[in-house]
Amino acid sequence: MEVYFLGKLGDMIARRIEVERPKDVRTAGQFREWLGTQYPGAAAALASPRLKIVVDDEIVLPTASVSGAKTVEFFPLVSGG
Amino acid sequence: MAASCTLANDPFDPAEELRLFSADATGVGAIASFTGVARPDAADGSAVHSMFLDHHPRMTQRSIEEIAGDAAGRFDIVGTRIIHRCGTIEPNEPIVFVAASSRHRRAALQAVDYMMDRLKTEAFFWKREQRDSGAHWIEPTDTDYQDRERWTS
Repeated sequence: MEVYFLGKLGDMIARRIEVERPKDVRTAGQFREWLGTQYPGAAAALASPRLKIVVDDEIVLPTASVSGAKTVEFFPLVSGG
Repeated sequence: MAASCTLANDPFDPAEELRLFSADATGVGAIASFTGVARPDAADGSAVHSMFLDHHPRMTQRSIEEIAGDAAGRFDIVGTRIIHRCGTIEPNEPIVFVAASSRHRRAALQAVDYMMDRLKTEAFFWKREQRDSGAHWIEPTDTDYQDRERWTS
């Protein structure tokens, strides 16, 4: 599975990683928690309630399934304009 | 209504964009525009050497178009134009240009204000300033959120 991190998360982890999702990690929220264990330095940022989780270009709730997803992306707080 | 939204990798000329938008805006009574410029200093007063605007290759464009579409649904406007930079931006370069045309002035003025408030807090951009002390990611301020809240009623 391809995983992308935007903004500051890209600096903290990497812009793109490829991971093998553990079988017991089924939802977007569980996937975020699991990534936090893999990247402890970014765990707090990944746990932020304002973080948006995007599965195949659609923003999803933490309860959404990531089974079958091609890409999962993480959007921290935005700052345009 | 005609809406045009551009994600620009390279610098643009706001005066030329306003000229083009105005030339297309026939039969209207008002044209309003706003240009946002990269400040040479940060909120703490330190110099900003450059800025990097991260974006998503597909969803950022979609988020800008949604904001322009919502403005069209909310205000009695005839046309809109949004240009937003991405990538590396030097101090004093324009970051964003927003314009709206309408039959009467209030709609155009309010539409530009509305689109800017949403671009600041909802469009998919991530801003990193390069200062002497290193790279700093910028998040919306409380004022930005308060400005956005004005449009929720």
